[in-house]
Amino acid sequence: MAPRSIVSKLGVSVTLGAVFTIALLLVVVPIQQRKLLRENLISELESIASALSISVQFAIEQENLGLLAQVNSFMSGNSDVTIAGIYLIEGGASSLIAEFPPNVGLDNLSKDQLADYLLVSLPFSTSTTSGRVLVGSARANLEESVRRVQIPLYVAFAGLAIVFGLIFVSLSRGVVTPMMASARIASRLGSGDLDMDIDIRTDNREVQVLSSSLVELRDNLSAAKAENESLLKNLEDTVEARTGELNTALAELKESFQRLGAVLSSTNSLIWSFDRIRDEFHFTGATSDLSLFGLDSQANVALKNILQRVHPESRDILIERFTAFLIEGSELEQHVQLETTPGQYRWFLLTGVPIPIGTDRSELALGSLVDMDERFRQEQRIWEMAHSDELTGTGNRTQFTQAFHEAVRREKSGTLMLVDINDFKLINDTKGHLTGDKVLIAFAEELKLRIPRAYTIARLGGDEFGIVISPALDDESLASVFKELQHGIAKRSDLGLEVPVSISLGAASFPENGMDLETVMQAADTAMYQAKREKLGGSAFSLFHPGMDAERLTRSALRSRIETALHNNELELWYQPIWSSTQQGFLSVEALLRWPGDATPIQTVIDTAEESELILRVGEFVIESAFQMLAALPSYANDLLVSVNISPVQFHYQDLVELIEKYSSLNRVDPSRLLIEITERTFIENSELAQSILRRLKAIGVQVAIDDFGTGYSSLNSLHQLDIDWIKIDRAFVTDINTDTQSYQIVNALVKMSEALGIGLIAEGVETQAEREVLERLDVTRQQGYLFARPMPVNKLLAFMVEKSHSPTVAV
Amino acid sequence: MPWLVLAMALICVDVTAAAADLFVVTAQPSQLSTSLDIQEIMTGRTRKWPDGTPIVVALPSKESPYFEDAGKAWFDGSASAMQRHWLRLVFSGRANVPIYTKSDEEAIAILEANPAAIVVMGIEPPPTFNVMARLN
Repeated sequence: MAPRSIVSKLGVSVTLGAVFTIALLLVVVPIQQRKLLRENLISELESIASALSISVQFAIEQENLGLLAQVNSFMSGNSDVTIAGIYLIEGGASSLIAEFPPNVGLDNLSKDQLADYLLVSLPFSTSTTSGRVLVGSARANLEESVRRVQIPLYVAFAGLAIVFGLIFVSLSRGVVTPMMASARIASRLGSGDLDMDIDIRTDNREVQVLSSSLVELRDNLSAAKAENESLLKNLEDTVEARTGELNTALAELKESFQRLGAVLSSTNSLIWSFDRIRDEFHFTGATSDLSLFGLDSQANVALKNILQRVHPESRDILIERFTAFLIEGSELEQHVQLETTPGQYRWFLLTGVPIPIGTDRSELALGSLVDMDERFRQEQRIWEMAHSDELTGTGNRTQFTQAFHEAVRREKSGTLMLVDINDFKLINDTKGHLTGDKVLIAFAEELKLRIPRAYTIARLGGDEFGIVISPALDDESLASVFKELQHGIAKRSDLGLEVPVSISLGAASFPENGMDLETVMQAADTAMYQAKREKLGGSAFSLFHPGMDAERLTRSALRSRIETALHNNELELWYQPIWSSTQQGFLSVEALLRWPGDATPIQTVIDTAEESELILRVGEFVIESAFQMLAALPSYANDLLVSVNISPVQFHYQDLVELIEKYSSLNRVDPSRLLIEITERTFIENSELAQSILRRLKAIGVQVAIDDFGTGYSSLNSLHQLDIDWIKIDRAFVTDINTDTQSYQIVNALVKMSEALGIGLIAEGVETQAEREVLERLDVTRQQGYLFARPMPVNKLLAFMVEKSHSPTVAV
Repeated sequence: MPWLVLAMALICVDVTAAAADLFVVTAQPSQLSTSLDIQEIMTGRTRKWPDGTPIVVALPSKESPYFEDAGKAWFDGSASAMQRHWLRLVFSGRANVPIYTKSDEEAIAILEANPAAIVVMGIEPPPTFNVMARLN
């Protein structure tokens, strides 16, 4: 509340006091007095009336008027009683019988005249009569009494008013006026007017003290002013000097700001401050960087608007880190993607100045926002280069390893698949690396197409791809993935290959088959090689199971030993002569692979070699050895033919014509002395290719035989188109042909068919004379089997040929 | 004064009609009382003897045999009018308080005790007293 003037305060108090006093003395007290006097008078009149009533009764009853005389005497001496009367009731009417004062004429007083009196009437009765007495007092007497009483009151009021007036005047002159004068002086002193005279005339001691104090104050202020002026002068001098220094500092600061701006601009950085109260960012930085955000240097951006620009994938983590930074003072260094233009995000590094523990959290938070987009994208490219395969665009072994460890850490379970392209080395060797690369790229495309993006696809090396799937897939899903891949890659006709690309896929699960990458990889590798074993030239898929590993190790070891054997020339060709009944001699031999000194079945050796490119080396060894044998034959055996077995892999991926011509040329042996045996499977997979190869072989004089005929799925049309020279009847139809009617009928049909097609027949596995005779009856003129000779090394063959050239019945 | 003549005539009539005489007696000497009007004294209009002594009026009480007679004699024939008259006088302060006597003996005793008294009695008073009037 604003302070008020002492005059107004006193004025209000005095006015209120005066009003109260006037009201009390002139209104309330007189009214109360009048009321009191009236009540007293009426009481007195009642007493007199009562006495009168009694005295009248006494006078009438006792005939004693003494009391009445006393009453009269009393009333005469009492100025309050102005009138009195005694009335008797006779015959129902009231008649005045006596009045006081005598002859006052009560009966003649009008109603208005009676109103000038205060009247008290009391009844009385005696044994003989009744009546009433009336006592009255003139109201004028009452008013006179009131006046008499109130005059002192008015005198007191007047005296009081005079006293109050004197007090007010005294206060006004002695206190208020000096106080107001002092206030004005103090006000002027406060406003700096220190030259005025201070003359407050008063007989009041306290005001005199105040006046003296004001004088002292004025003097002190004057002294202080003089001192201040001196100080001010010094201060101005100092300010002038400091202003100069400040201007210099400002210039330097401006230059620093310019340098800072240049630095910020060159580093594509923004400095931000965050108002915690208003939840707003304020950015400072190079204009170009600010404009990148659609901001200017005055821009205050609400937190929610910044968050709206954050990429949804990194929004939650940013909120979490930023909140921790603000509340806990934790370090803030977070890469975020911000939408700089609609739909386009750039990478930024958001850092915050650490806020020490205990600092007032309501203060501004500071930090920087550095444009890391270019660098981040370069890093991403470097990362991708480090983690991806350049040729296929899939991940590489590093990414594969990381993906596996991440899957183990996060999901705890998954499936690891290894898949490679069957006979890829053959593709590379026969079709060239460009074709091999096209196959790899095509297969990678199929993998990307068929495998969900959440899984990691990586090229581990060569034609081997690894896939990390987490969580684990069930067997049905894995089989489904395999089928899609198999069909997808087999359909690719743009690779320049004659045969469809096939794959081998092995899968292992973790943690069931191990928890470290090496163990799980080994399991998947084992499964993949198991698939290769079962593939029969096509695609195959296998899931790892315990026990598979031991077999794989065995076969792996066997491959190593075969390689060693090849290197050490431990492998040999043995030859089994083929009897010609029409020529009555052995005109040809079949070269059979043998590994002397090793107990491994030779078919196991061949199957194992077929699982890899080893078969090509083995095949080449066979052709080379066969030609060397022919070259070494004496002249009398210059018409001997040698048949060699060609595996489907060798047939498709090794240039047989070139190989045969090579060793034919090296050994100076006519290629027409070589007969190759292929199985039905070889041309079933791609009859057109087989046809093409066979034509080229035929062109150089090489004869061709279908081996193990009847066990596969060849068609007569294929036989016709392929221009086959010989069909070798599988031993299954030869054994017991003399007793087995069904075998007999089959062979009989084959004979007729071969006659129709102009293809020669060779029966394999002839072991008894009875079988030989039946076959001869069926006109199968060429026979091979233990009945005639067992396979033998080349040195024994020469001796056999000399000794038995015309004695077919002698078996070795 | 016509009303006085009338009053006297009425008194005469009444006295004549009374069965017994009434005596208005005082202890004052006769020379003092003869000049006074009995009517004036009994109605209180004359309140002092010639020598200035206040007259003490003794009226017959309502138990007195002369109650009605006195009323008839001086108060228009009504004893109650006599009572009211004296009540009015005393109340208005225009007369001294009268004494009421129930018998002649009391009247004589009053006379003996108060020489300024004037009483009404039915017998002849002793000679020491002065009969101011005899009413019949």
